[in-house]
Amino acid sequence: MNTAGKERTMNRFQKIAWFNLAVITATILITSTAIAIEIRMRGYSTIGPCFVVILALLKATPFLFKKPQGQSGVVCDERDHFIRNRAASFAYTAFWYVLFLFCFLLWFIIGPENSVPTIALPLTAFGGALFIKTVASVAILVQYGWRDKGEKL
Amino acid sequence: MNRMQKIAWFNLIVTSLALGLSIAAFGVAYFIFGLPTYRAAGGFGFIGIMGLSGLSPVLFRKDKSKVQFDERDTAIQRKAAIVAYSFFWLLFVAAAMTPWFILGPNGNITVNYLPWMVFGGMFTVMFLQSIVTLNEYGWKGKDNE
Repeated sequence: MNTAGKERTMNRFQKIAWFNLAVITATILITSTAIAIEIRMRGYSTIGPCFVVILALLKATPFLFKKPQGQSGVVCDERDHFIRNRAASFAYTAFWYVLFLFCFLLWFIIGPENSVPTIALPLTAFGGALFIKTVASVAILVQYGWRDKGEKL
Repeated sequence: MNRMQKIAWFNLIVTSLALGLSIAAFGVAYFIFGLPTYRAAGGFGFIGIMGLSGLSPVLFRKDKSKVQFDERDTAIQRKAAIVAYSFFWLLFVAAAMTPWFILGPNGNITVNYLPWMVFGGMFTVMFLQSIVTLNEYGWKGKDNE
């Protein structure tokens, strides 16, 4: 592929999708490692779960990946909108299947007469939000291609 | 009316019927027959009527002889989905956090709550999506459609 004289880079949405995936993966790895170490050392974990605060970085994307200002600044066209909408649509569809399966399998396994700890409910919402973010990011990267395609900013 | 309006009306009727019958059945079982709450809650089995909405693609088939969907329809569908899912998330998070706040982090809640969250979410999304779709197109048929 001849790219001489052209700036080869990923577009803004690809960068955001990669960033989201990196933050989510890092959070899961760091938090699970911290919890595992803490449980091994003390038998219980209190500090480990606090590492989920890393996810706050997901809210920093508008500042980290600013829209280019200036005359050459077309950053989003119909194709980009289409890709983002399709990713969101796919993520929500997948989320419904997973939520449905999770809730009914838990109900089926535990039995209708039994109960679950209340902490399971916020964790379900939290896990659902993470799942949607992850699937939407992967869908965006799949549609654009995982690497740069010589798109110009 | 166009196909999307018909589907929206169908879904709206189905969801309203499901919720209305469920509340009525619960009310009758609880207040008239004096059943305990957990048994009267069986009246919410009528919520299964919502499953009829899955038939809408079969009942309202696409007419292949003409263009069914343009940019305006896409924009309307997108707006309806955004409104429905925004409300869904608010309710979903509220439904997940409320027992945690009320019963405390060490409390327990019946596992039946989880399927009800799913049904509640499905109801919210279908109902609001239908309302917004009809509101955007207009509630009645139009000659130019």
